[in-house]
Order: sequence, then structure tokens, then C-alpha cells
Amino acid sequence: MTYITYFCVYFTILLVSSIFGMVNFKKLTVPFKILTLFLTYTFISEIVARVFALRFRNSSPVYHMFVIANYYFYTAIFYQLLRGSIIRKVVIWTIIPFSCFWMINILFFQHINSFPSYSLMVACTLFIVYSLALFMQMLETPTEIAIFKQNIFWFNISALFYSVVLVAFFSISSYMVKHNISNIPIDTVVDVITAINYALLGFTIIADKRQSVKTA
Amino acid sequence: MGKFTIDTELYLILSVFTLILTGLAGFIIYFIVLYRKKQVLHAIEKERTAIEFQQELFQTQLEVQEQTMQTIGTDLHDNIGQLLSLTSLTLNSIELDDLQKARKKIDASIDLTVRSIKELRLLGKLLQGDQLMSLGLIEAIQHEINWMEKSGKFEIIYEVNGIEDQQNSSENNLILFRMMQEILNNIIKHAFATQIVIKLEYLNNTTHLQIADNGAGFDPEALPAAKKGMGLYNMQKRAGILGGTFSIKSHLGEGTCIDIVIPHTKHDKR
Repeated sequence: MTYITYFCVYFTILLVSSIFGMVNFKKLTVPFKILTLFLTYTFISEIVARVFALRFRNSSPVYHMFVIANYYFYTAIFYQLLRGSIIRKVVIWTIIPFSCFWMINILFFQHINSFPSYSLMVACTLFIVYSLALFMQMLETPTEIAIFKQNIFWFNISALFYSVVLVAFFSISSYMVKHNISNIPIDTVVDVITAINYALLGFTIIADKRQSVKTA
Repeated sequence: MGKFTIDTELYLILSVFTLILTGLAGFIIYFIVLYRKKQVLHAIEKERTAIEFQQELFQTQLEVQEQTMQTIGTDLHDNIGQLLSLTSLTLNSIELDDLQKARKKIDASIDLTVRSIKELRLLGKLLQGDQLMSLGLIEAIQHEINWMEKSGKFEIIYEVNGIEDQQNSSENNLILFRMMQEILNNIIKHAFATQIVIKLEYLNNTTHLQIADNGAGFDPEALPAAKKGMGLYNMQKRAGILGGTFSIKSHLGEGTCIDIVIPHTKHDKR
């Protein structure tokens, strides 16, 4: 698969998921409305990142903005999905320390022209915690719907799997860069996983629409 | 040596990465298996709860039936029985020598018989819960009040707020109605009240029934367990079965106020 083919597939997935979510926006539940907005934002953000990459040879400023927005969107989704009052408070209150960390990272560690891998790793670590909490909640309150038909399950799988992969990827990537080893093979794997992740998120929106229609 | 170190470290990192991914996949599989187990347990528990609910509902219906039979017995003995005894006495005392007197006694007997028939019809109507419920809860309560007012012992104030939900389960209405009958029975027997206020309110998909009297009152906490079990506990249980609440406020010498709130359900068969 060439680089261009990959991006065509990647953008198509994002575009189709966003359009489907927007068309059925009213029928979706609140967390998946937020997810639709996130996918739309991601699509726009990725286009702007390509423009930056072509014109300024650096798309990192766009990703700095993307990291914080990504955190806010995911926090809002987890806040809507989680039911325990303590974990909900934890989810909402981590916005402040994370925003501070994001700012400190830009000012002192990974400046606006560097890729914000530290912020992304912290965000992913928090998503892993939220995701595990959501899995616990699912086990405590099982429903009659088959697990593979539950949009929350797929969303959570996507959040957990992608976050773990990203944390692991950035750890390996930094090591490879430090020792001048080409990380293109791992980059490609992560790119494919990213595309699969967004396809999965798009699928959760479709599943949510189906569930909303059934319960209506 | 340097390359060897890098390679070893790289392999180590890649191994950890693989281990993490394998662990993740394992976790997901474990979660799915565990979730399915929980789903099965949840389904069994739900089924058990449904059976328990049916049993409780059946038990409640039996209790209501038993109570209804008691009402029939009491009414037949105290009311219709008395009227028929009086009719029999009047007819027995007729002396055919005095036609004018005999005519008066026959007229009185006819009057007593007509009253007995009326009482029997009223009793019949009160007992046929389904028929009564076909009129709706508001009308059914009004019938019960008309029946009670005939004694002339009570001033009954009846207030209705809101519109009756026609789709609300008639089974729920019947149980609520029987609870009200039991409460009124208790007032007649024990409260020595002169005024009863009945408020029926339909609000936010619930039926709220409040019955207050100005009678002797009592201390609900001081009731012996056996007595509690017979009346209040049963009513509390019935309200609970319908997903509602039952609360009682009473103090010695200050009357009693009972509140029952029942949520609306659309289906008669659960």
C-alpha cells in the first residue's frame, strides 16, 4: 500500500464516519454525538495538518491543538458513559492538571514545532484508566444485548487498544530515534491501526444509531 | 558490542510491546468470556425476580380476595342480615284480624325487602372489582364514598387533581382501590373519626392517593409486630410490588394520614 493510498483510505474512513454521524446526529445518544463531533474535528485537523506539512514542512502545531481537543472530547465521552460519581468527578477534574501539563510541555519540553508525544502519552494513559473503569462498569451492570452489538463495548475496545498501542509506540519510537534506527515499519503499523481505530469509531456511531432506532 | 546492546534492547522493547499487545488481546477475550457469564447470571436473576414478582402478586391477590370475603361476611351479617331479620320479624308479627295494621306491616316488609335488594346490589358492585374498575378509579372511589356516607357517621371530603391515565394498568388500580378499602375499614373500626379527607392526584405518571382522618391516631412504631404484619406491612408490600411507596403519619389523638404513590404501568399482564 503506497502512502497516498493509505491517506485516501484514512481520509475516506474519517469523512464517511463524520458524514454518517452528522446525518444521523439527532438519533444518536449524547456520547456518540460528541464522538461524531470528534471525528469531524479529526478529519478537519488532519487536512490542516497535511496543508501545514506541505507548506511549512511541519504539522506539529496542528497536533498540539489536536492533543488537547482530543483529550476534551474523550473526557466528555467517558464522562457521559461512566455512571459512578467518583470516577465521573475524577474524569472531569483531570481536565485542569492535563491542560496545565499540556501548556508546560509546549513551553518547556516539546515546543510548538515538536510533535507533542508526551502530552499524547499522558492522555492515552488516562484513557486506559477510564476505559478499564468503563469495562468494570459493564461487568457490574450487564445488559441483555449481545456484547458484540454494544456500541459502548466497541468504543471502549477502540479507546483501550489504541491508547495502549500509542503509549507503546511512542516509547519504542523515542528509543529508535535516539539510536538512529529507522522506525518506518512501526510507523506503518501504527498508521494502519489508526485507520482501523477510526473505522471502529465510525462503526460505533452506526451501532448507536441502530440501537437508538430500536429503542425508539 | 554497541550494536549488540542496541539489538538486545530493541528486541527487549519489541518483546515488551508484543507482550503488552498479547496481554491486551488476552484481557479482551477474558472480558468477553466474563461478561457473557455475567449476562447469563443476570438473565437467571432476572427470571428469578420475575417469578418472585408473580408469586408476590398472586399472594397479594389472594390476600385481597380474603379481605373481600371478610367484607362480604361482615356486610351480610351486619347489614343485609339485619334487614332480612327485621323483614322476617315484621312478616311474623302480621295479624290478619287487623287489616289496616297488617297492610302497614306488609308495606314496611316490602320497603325492607327493597332496601335489602338495593344493599345486595351495592355490595355486589363493590365486590366486582373488574366492573368497578371499568368505571375508572375516580368513580370507583366515589362509589365507595357513597356507600360509606349512608352510615351518616362521617363527613367525607373527596378531591381529585389531574386527569386519570386511561392506559394505566387496571390491575394496579384494583390493588390500589382494595388498599383504600382496607384503610377505610380500619378508620371505621379503630379511628373513631368524624371526618375523612381523600385526595387522589395524577402527577408525573404516578397516582398519588392520600387518606387522612381526624380520629384517635396511633403510634406506628409502637404497633405489635403481629398487628403490623396483618395490615400496614401487607399494604407496604403491595405498594412495593407495584413499584410505589406507602407511608403513614400518625400521632395519638391527632389522626392519621396515609400516602400511597404508585407509578403508572401500561400493561395489565406482567
